[in-house]
Amino acid sequence: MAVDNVLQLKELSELATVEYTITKIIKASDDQTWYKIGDRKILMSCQAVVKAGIDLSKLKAEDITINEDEISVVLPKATIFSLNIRPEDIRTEYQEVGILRSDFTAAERNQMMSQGETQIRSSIESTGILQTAESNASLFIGQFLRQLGYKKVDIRFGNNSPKTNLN
Amino acid sequence: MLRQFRNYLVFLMAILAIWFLLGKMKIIPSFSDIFKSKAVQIDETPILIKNIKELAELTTMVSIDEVVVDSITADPTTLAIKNITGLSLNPFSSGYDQLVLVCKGRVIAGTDLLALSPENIYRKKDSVSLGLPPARILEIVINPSDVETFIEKGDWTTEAFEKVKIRAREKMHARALSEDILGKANARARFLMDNFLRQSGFTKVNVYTKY
Repeated sequence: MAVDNVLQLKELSELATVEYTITKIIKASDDQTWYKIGDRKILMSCQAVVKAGIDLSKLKAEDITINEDEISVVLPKATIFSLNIRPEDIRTEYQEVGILRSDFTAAERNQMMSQGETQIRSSIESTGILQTAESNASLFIGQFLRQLGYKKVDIRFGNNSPKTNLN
Repeated sequence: MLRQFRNYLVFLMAILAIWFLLGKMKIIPSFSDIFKSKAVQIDETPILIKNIKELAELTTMVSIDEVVVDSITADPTTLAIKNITGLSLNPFSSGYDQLVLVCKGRVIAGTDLLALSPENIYRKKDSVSLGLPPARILEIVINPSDVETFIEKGDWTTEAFEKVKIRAREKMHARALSEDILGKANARARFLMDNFLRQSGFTKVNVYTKY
């Protein structure tokens, strides 16, 4: 029973240069509703795969300067492209339910996982993923341009980022 | 007596009206809020980096989709009662567990440029020829926030719930392939690399997909 006509195809121009695999424990106690006697506790674990890289649609003709066998490229700053919490990587590790309480429903567990997803999104940049993505993008594009015959390759990010020289 | 009763009634109605108004102004909790079950809030926990992998994936097409998946399983208690007593009805159960999910997701396709070998790049003066690896499905994303539980009857373990989501993922995969996402991803990758090579100073460019 599929909902038809909702599929939409979109074109992208993203070069993903790094993938971080992240683990997180989801911990919750349900004892905040005053008229419910007893509490419920749950521990879940999940794994998220986060990809980051550079959006090539932001690369303009004036960002590339060529002088004989020298090339200089100003790449857009790295961004996070996707966060994927695969169903296989979600587990309930432990739960304790008071005798007067009902078990956690699947919808409640999914709602808690959804909160965990929000927490991962808000803390992912602190892992340094964007710096790694830029460093890998420099290496890959630099190597590719050298394979095309350029002897001196100069790659920068945005206007103010430090220069990465790949001679 | 009647007058006293009327005064009590007016006083009670005034109290209710004030409560209603203050509740609307969110100064005091409304009647429904008092008996509203509070949503479970998770604690703040750290994230741990398990692995870092270098990539060079040129993502060229995405299919944004929404599917409905359902699953019905017979309730084991009902089955046991039926086997023992021959009765088909368990008064404490509807007889089956049912789960209906509405899942939004993205099927992402592109070209793995790490599979690009030096022999697939040929350059002479201002001419270049580039043989790209064929596009493939790079990932299918259905996150917890993309899932709405429409119907949940009976007990569903985390594993059983996630298996239904995997079926949604398979459905999205099949729908994306039927829309020729890989053919379009190949064409888009050729277009992007052609543009990049021309911007990089080449005037004669030949980009093809090497199957």
